Amino acid sequence: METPTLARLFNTLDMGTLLELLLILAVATLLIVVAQKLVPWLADQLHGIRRLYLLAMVPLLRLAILVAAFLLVVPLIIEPSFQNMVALLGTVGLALGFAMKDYASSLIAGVVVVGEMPYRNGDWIEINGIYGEVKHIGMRTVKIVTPDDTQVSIPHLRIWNDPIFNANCGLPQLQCVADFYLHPAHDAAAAKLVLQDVALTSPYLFFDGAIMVSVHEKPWGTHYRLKAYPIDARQQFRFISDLTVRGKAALLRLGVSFVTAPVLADKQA
Amino acid sequence: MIMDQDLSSQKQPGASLPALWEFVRVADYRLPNPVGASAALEKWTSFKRLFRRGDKEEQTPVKAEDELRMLSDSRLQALVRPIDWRCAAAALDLALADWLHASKPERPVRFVVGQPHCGHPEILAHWAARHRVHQVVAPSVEQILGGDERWLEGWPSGDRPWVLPNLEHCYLRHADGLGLVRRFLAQAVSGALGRGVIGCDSWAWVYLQEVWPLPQPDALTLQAFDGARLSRYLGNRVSREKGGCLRFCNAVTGKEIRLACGPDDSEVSPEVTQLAVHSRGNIGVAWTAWRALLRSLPEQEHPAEQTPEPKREPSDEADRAAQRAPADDSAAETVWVSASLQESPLPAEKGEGMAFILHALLLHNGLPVSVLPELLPQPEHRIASHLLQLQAFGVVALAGGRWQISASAYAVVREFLRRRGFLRDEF
Repeated sequence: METPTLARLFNTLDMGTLLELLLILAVATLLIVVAQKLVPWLADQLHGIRRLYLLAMVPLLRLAILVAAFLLVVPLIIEPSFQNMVALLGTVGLALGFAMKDYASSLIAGVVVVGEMPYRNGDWIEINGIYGEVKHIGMRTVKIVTPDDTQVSIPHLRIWNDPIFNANCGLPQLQCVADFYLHPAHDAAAAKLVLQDVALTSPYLFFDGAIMVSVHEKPWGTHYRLKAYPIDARQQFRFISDLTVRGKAALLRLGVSFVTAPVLADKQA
Repeated sequence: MIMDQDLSSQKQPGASLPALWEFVRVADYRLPNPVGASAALEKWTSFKRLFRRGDKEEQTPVKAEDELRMLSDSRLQALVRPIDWRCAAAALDLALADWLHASKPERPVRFVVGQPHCGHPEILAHWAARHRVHQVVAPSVEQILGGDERWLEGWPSGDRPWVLPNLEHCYLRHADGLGLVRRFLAQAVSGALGRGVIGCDSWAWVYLQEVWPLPQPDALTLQAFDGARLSRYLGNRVSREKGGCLRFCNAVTGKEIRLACGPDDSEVSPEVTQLAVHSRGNIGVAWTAWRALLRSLPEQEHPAEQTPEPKREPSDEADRAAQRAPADDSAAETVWVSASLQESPLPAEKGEGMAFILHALLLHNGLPVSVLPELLPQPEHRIASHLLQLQAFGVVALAGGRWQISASAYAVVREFLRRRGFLRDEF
C-alpha cells in the first residue's frame, strides 16, 4: 500500500517536465551567478553609501531568486495538495532535524541575516575574535577577509548565541583609534591640541565625523586615544598608521617623550 | 553702507538685465540649473565617468567632426580673449563701497571667496591697485610650518585698509601648518590688524571652517555665470570683434548657437546652457571649455590668422548695445562648435594616492612639489610619478612653481572627489 501513496505524492516526470525543471534550475543558477558577480562589480564602481547599498542587495536578490525557483519547481515535482505538503515537509524536517541540524540551522540563520541584517556585505565585523570585512554572505556562511588578507568562513548560526560586533553597520565610515603612550611629565593640553591637528590634517579624514582625543592617566604614564573617522572604512588601517606616524612626529617636535616597554614592565612588576 | 540684501539685486542703471559681474553672499550663489536635454546630458556624462577606463576611446572625435580643426592660438586669442578681471574688480568695488567708506564698519575684515580659476587673487589685486591699498604677501612655507610670528608683526599699520589676496597660501594641511593661520584669523577678525579684505579659495574656505570656524555670513563671491550671463559674456566680445559677421554653429546639428541673447533669457542656446551647467557657473572653467570647443574648416584657417586689433574688455553698456545690433548673416563667417565637451580625462589608475594629490592641490589652490611629501602619506617618488602622469593627461599644470588643477580638468576632478566623499567647496 506504500508504493501507490508515494506514487501519488510525486507527479509523473515526463521529458517535457524534466526539461522545464532543468530550465528553471539553469536560469536560477545563472541569475544567482550574475547577481553575485555583476552587482559587486557595479558596487565597486561606486563609493560610500551607494556601494554598500548595492552590496547589501546581493543576498536579498539571491534569496528572491531561490524562492521564486522553489515555487516554480515544487508544483512540477509533487501534487501540491495539503496532504502531500505535510508528508513532504514532515519527511524533510525529520531528515534535517536529525542528520543535518547545524546545516539547517545555518540555512535558516542565513535567511534571518538577510532580514535582520546584523551584517551586510562591506561591513566590518567581529565574531568570536575574528575581525574583517564581509565579502560574501552565502546561504550557510558569511565570508570575511581579515586585515591579514585571510578569508574566514563563519556559519550563520553564530548569530543565535554569539555577539556580533559591527563597526560600521552599513555606513561607509567607522571610528578608528590611534593610541599614544606618553611619559607623564608633559603639557597634556598642548599634546591634546597637537593630536587633534594631526587628525585634522590627515588626508584620510572624513570631516562629518567628530575628532576626539581622550586622555587617561595611568601609573606608568599617560594614555592618549585619538579617535576619528576615515573617508572609507577600507582605509582604516592606513588611517591609523598615518595618525600614528604623524602623531609621533608631532609629539616629538613638541618635546614629549614616550614611555617604553621597560618602564611599563617595571611598573607592572 | 551697502546692505547685504542689496548685493544680489545690483542692476545696471536703466537696464533690465542684471550686471554681468556681480558679487553676492556665498549663500546666495545660484548654480546654473540644468534643464531638459542639458540635465539629461549632464547626468549621462556623469554616469559614463563611473566606468571610464583609460579614456583613449572617448578622446577620439566623432566622425562628423574629423574634418574640423582646432583653432590656432591667434584665432582663439581673437575670439576668446583672456578674461579681464578689472570688470569683476569694479563689481567688487561696488559691493564693498559702503564698507570701505564707513567710519566704523561692522566687520573689520571682509572675505572674498573665489572658486579655482575664477581669478580672486587677480580681482583683489586690481581692487587693491584701484584704491592704492597695501597688498600683503602670503607667508613662506618655512614661516607657516615654523609658526613664524614675524609675518604678523610686520603687518601694515595705519588706517589704510590692506588686502590679502590668497588666504589659501597661508596655511598647510600639516600638523604644524595651522597655527599661524589660526593666529592670523583671530587677530584679523577681532580687528587687531585693522581693516582689510581677505581673498580665499573656495576649497580652502571650507577647510578653514574646520580649522577655525569663521563667523562670516557676509563673505562675498562672484555670482555664477548661468546660461544667460555666459551667453552675454561670450557674445558681446564676439560681436565687437567681428561687427556681427561671425556665426557659431553646432558641428553636429549645424544649428546656430546664438550668444548675445535678447531680453528674454529663455532664448539662450542649449549649448551655452550646458556649458554653464558643466562649469557650475565658474567663468574660468567655462572660458577654457568654450575655447576647447571651437573648430574651423581647414580652408577657414587662413583668414583666421589675422591678428585682431586690441580692444578693451566690453563693458555692460557695450553688452546691451551689442544685443540691440542686428546681425548680418549673409556675410557671416562660421565658427564650428564641437558638440562634445573636451574634458581632461583622469588616468585609468585612479587610486587613493592620486585622489590625495588632487585634493591637496585643490585645498591649497596649488602647491610646490617640494611641499607635497610633507602633507601626504606617500613617498616623494610616488608623488612625482603621479604628478607627471596627471600632467600628461592635462589634469595638472605647473604655474608659478605650483602644481595646480587645470581649468579643463577642474569639473571632472571635482566630481571625482565628490563621489569619493572628500571635503569639497560649496559651489
